[in-house]
Amino acid sequence: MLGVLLPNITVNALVLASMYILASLGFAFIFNMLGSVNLAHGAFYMAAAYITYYLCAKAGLSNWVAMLVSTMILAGVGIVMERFVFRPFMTEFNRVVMVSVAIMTMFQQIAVFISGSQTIAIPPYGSGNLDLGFVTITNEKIVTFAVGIILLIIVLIIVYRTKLGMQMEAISQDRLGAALQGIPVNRVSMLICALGFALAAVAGSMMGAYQQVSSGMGDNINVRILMLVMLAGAGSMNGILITGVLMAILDSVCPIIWDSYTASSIACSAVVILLLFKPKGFFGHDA
Amino acid sequence: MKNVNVKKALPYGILLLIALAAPIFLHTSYWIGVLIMVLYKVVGSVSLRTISLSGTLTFAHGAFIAIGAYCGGILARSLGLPPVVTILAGGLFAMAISVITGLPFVRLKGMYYSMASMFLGVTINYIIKALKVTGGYHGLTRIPKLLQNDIACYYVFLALTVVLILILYRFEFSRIGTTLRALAQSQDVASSIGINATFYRLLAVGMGSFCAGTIGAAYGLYSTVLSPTNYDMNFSLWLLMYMLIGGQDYFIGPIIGAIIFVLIPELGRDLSAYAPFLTGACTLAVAYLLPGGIAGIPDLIRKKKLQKEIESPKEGGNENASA
Repeated sequence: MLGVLLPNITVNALVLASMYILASLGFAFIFNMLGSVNLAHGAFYMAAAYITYYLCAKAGLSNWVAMLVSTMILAGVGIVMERFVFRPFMTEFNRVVMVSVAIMTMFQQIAVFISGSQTIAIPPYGSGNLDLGFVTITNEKIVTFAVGIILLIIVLIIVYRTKLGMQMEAISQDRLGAALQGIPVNRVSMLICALGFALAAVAGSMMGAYQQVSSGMGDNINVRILMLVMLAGAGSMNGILITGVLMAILDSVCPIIWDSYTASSIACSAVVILLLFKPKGFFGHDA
Repeated sequence: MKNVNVKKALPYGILLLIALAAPIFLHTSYWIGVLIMVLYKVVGSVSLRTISLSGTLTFAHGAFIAIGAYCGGILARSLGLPPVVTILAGGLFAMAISVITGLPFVRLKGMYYSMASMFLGVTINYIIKALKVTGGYHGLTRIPKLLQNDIACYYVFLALTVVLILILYRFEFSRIGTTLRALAQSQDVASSIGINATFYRLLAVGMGSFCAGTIGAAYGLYSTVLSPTNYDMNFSLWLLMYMLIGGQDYFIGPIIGAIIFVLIPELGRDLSAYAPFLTGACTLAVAYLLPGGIAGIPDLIRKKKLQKEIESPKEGGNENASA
């Protein structure tokens, strides 16, 4: 029993973890750099999935091309959001909440218009199975995980090894100080926002095929994203990688033991209790 | 002095008169339902504002309304207790839960409190969906109705709303409210003069959740059906939005916000599918154009006028300023 379950759980957890982390990186970037809580991040993730679905089903593009297009569109949206929401309302938590909830509501209604109550899905990125003897993995999962891990490595390189990453770190620490050093603060913020939204778009497009596209998918991922980032703590990149894996394990183990609502309530309670003892998150620092 | 009081009470008086007279014109059972929904959300939003007085937004308010509703509903359904008892029990139970969970949470500051309260709300919603006693995902049905007559129901609701709002008003404009406002401005300064921040914030959380639970229980008795999907994160978010859009700094703000935004989808049956766009557009307009919310418009106009006077001094004005 356990010999069959354990490899499956591991595979599922890895796939989920890579997608959760991709989706939440953008949120974390915006949170660290601009101090804005973008509650609409899940809505953009959902929007990307819908755009990909639409391009596949209605325009007849192949799903990789569709994903690329929706990623580009979302990157553009990220730039617009940075310019008109995050930058002007940098210190105003309330107004960012208002704008993001308004966007969320509108996107959700558009999603309801498009899909209604029927279930739709993006055509799978991979077909067939890979038989390893002790476990059979669908190629879909392998492709999803591969895309996730490759993008993660690229992002880690950008954050830790390039000028852009260092500039971003400087801005997160002290925006004014960074500007005084001659860092083009606004341009870097814009680029990083575009990157974050693009990553969320990729995650949305992949998850739209792995699970399904629905008007509720934004809300689901939103809770996960917030939990990941809060558990990891503000200002921590590495923390997100660890809490992402943790959350994915919780999400893939709990539904096997309990029914889905009990599982979700136990996972959420665990996070709430952890937050009580570590309000700044595991890897957070005062900022 | 008396004049000022009259001026202050005028908007509330007008609203109360409209509320008293509304069933004369809108007496179908559908419209009574809408009116009760307005009252329900008004109390929810005003009590949320009480918690937010100390400067931190809460995202868990819908969950506490749900706790009150479910507590009242279960008591009325299985034990057959009279409405007065179940409504009060709902409020007290919501208060108890909020104080127990709030005890560790209120120590968090600013955004961290908001985020933690959001997880708390989500968790409570999932627990309601998972438990057997609450009817799980399908919800609680066959709750005995408050009163058979809809219009009588409405007036009971109105009386309850007025009482709860008076309680919250007294709470805010007492010493406690002033203390909470001091905490909002600077917790460090307030603590340095001996204000127990945790105690006062917990008091606000308990007070707000009591009113939320009470109105939630009453609404449960009116609607006779409780579904956990009605109390999800969006519900809490929108209660918060009513307050932010109406104007967080004004007591009347959340009342105005809730009235406007509950009534927007009712403008026309064909319109209701497009209502989210209308509410979204209104929200964006307020966020960009009216920093103080809708209730802040008079103050904004006054400020603009003052600014104009300063910029172009009249002949009788202070001429030394330009010299």
